[in-house]
Amino acid sequence: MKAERPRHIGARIQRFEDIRLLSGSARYIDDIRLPDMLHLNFVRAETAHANILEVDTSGLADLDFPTWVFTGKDTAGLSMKAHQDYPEMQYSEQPLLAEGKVRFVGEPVAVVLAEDAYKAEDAAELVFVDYDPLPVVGNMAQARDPESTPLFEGWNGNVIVQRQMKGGDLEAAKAQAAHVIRRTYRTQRQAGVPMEGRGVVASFDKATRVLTVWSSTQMPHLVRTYISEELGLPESRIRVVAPDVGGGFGVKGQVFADEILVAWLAMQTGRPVKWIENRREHLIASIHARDHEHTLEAYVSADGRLLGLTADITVDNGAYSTYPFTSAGEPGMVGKVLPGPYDFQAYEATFRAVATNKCAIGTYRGVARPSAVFSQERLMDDIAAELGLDPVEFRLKNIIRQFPYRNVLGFTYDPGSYAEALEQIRELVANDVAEAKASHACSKTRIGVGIACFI
Amino acid sequence: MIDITLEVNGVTKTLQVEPRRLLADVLREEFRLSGVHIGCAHGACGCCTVHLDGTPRLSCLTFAAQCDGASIRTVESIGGPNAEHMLQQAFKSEHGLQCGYCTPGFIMTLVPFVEEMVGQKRMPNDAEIREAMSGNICRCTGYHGIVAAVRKAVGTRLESGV
Repeated sequence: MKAERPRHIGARIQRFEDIRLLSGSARYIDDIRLPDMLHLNFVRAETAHANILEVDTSGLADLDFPTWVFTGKDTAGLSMKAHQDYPEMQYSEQPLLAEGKVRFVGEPVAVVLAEDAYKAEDAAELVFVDYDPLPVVGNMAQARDPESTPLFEGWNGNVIVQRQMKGGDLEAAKAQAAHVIRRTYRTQRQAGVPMEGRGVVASFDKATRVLTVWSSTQMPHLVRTYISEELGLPESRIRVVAPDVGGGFGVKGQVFADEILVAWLAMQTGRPVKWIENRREHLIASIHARDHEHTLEAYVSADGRLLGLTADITVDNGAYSTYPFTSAGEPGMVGKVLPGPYDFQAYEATFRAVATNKCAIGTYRGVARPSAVFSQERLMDDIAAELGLDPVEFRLKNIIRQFPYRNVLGFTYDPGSYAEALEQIRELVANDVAEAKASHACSKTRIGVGIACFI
Repeated sequence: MIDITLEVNGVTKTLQVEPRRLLADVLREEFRLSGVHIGCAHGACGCCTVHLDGTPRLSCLTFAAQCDGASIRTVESIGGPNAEHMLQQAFKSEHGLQCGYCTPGFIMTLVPFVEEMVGQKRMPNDAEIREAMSGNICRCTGYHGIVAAVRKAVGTRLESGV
């Protein structure tokens, strides 16, 4: 007799985790408590770019409770190495604690540990860092200036990596074009801000030489791999636990220097160590996203067919390259995504990441795609406006209809109902479009309606 | 240090606290109530909402020393370990939560609102529900599921007539 299988298709599936989440009995990173645990507080850079002259920890001696303090001198040689093996990519490492130099506001300079979180915070305020300021590379234009102060020794300027991808005959597209539309679009820097910030707890058992790390992470396996490589402990001796995670959105999808650092501190001190990120730390020093500028040039035929596209893509990567996707990941993704759902067969994208004195760029919701799609779709609207076409009509003229479709970069698109979906959307928003048009006569309130496509 | 006595979910303790110690930390550490979550510690997100003498309050902006003699309720008291309160059940069935970090704050904010609506014998409109929870931030659900959960909880209570 066959066992009755649960029916899922069409059923309302209840989640297994809801009861513990609703009743307050879930276990997030701050709910991990271990005997003899030390609490970690970071001393973070208050200036964007400077040489560190001195880290004065002498004030800690006056406290009436025990503290442990570590600076970049103690962690020298330990770093995040996030590099793609491209010959044109300039190499850099992120030290676990700043060594000699800080490169963004919020960069960890020292850590203070104490037996109570309030005390660790008090003690950290007694650490004084003497800085000698360096010229700040504050934006993309400065970073692209070959005369700007390189963020890393031995670097030539601050362009970390610049590459190209192309397909089809762009010269032919240009020659056939009746219209050339060129625009520059910009998306601003954002932070991911899950409701629960990040946090790490680590414990090292000296007898068995087993390291256990709890981290509010989306990728425990890679955290284990990186700890193993950097601290020289075999993976079989490392256990990384992701407890209940209070939102990640990609922010918690990289290996962070502090995850390695907290593990190392547990091994150094012989006691469990806990770090819980506060909201300010999250905003200034976890990862940022979407700091892009795209200059696009579209070649369009007299009858409104998109013939080709060139793209010049710059990502303000901040100071450091994140593991594992690196600073080459974000701009490359824009180049790949930009052709979108449109049928054209000539394309050239030049994309680069530049280093600035800001928090590093990492993965966050869509990983470059929101910025890429914003630019792609603004361009479609701008072309339509320039040609005097309805924006939906213009998209329908250019949307892919033959499947499977091989795009200009050689990617194969599976069958989809692109045109049908767009036509349906046009009907669904017809009333909104009419309302928006009517509002243009009004002097006080005007309504805008936009349609965007992405794949 | 200041001596305070708190009654939390029926448990009374007298504690010595520093004047600066946050109620949220006392509830999490001294009372071991993991349902009190700190999201921003700035009073912006609502994750840490508890009932202080029956009223929703932000425990990250409240010093424990201010609460001497107070009666405090956290999410653990609402529907027990199986989350049996009607609003909790409605959150579950209507996808009013995903990662769950903001959830105890929403429950503590919305339980009194549901009671108020039931008391008035009326179903609130969506704008009223959204206004009631405007001090709480959720990054996962987009709020629709939470609004649906409130409607379901109020509706079920009104139908059952209790």
